[in-house]
Amino acid sequence: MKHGGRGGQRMAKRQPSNVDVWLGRETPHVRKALENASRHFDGNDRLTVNTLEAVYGQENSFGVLLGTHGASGAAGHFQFRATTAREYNLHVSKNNDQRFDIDYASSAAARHLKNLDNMFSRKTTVWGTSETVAVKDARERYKFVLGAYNGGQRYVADAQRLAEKAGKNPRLWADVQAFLESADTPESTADQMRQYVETVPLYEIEFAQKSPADKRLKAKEPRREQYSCAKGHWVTIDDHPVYICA
Amino acid sequence: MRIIGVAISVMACAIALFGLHTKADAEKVFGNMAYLTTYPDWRERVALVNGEYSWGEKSNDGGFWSYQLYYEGHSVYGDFNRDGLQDAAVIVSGGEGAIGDFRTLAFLINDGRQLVHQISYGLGDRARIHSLTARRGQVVVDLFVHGEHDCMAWPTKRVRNVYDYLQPDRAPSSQTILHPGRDHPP
Repeated sequence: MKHGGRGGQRMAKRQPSNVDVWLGRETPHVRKALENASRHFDGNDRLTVNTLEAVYGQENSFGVLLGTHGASGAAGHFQFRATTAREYNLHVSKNNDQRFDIDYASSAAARHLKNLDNMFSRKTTVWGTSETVAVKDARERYKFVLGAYNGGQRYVADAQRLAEKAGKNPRLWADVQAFLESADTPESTADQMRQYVETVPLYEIEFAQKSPADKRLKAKEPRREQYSCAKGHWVTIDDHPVYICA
Repeated sequence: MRIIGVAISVMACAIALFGLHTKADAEKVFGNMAYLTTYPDWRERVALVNGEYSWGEKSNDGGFWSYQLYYEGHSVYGDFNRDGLQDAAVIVSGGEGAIGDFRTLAFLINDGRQLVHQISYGLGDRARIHSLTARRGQVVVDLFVHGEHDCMAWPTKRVRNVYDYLQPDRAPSSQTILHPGRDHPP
């Protein structure tokens, strides 16, 4: 029996990667929002617009599954919980949930990543008596930032301290990740954090090769004024709901 | 025939209203009680008010931390410690100042006067609960967890986990994979 033909051609056809699928969904507006958000990064960190693209893909497959407006739990483009979103001055209610606005959501995600980068660049209190160990190498710190972004900064800081006590290097993710469970992180969460730190950088490399997003915007100042609207009201203009800032 | 039809409609309405009533009751009870925090080194009872607890603080050196817990709307009754009294198991969610949303199965044990949260099992970040049932003193959670091709927002791997209060462990007593999840990115 002969193989090949149409079936063989189908077999040979390359499956699009996750990044290919996501880039197909990246509208000019989304790209612009991510580029603008990347202005919150700077020369001291290893974060780029491609980091945001990779996180957006991993979290939400580029806006396919957003969740419920006003929900306490994870929702919106970057899957922020309501409390975390409010921490970054996003308005969260059933009528106006800025987690669902790509401009606000990506700005908050970028600021959160940058905050985490700051927390792990110097000794910082992240929970009661839990403190981070400063990781000076930005490339290595990037892994700690991703782990904390996924599971929380306290788990990572506690694992650093435990690694240090055990004679390991608290500034190396490879050493620290082995202590996540000892830091009371639930097993499934620890596994997920490890996988996140492994997967997101791979996506980021692929985005860096394929995405037309402008990486140079990172060097520019963030446009702060556009994120100041947390209070306002809805009106209808030309049959479309429009939020008017107070 | 018409009378039978009317009778069936009335019964259906009564059942629906009873269902709504019990769900509302459950929201009221489980959304306004004390739960243990999920961190062993910060073992404290925090009280949910209208289904939610939220706390946060900032440090002077630029750090911040927060903790949230909320009732997810899933509950089931049963005698989980086999003492003849009716206990409960509910799903609560929360976590600290990150983006994850960690689901937990909380066992609430009847001490003769009230239900008291005793132990919890982690179900996973953003796990989607399909159903929560009690069977022979155990709790069966039918849920979606993350498969290989899932994004964090929408896990599609369906599993059935069985939890036994009398055999506390970090893992469920048994797990059955009902569906491996999507085989391509969403």
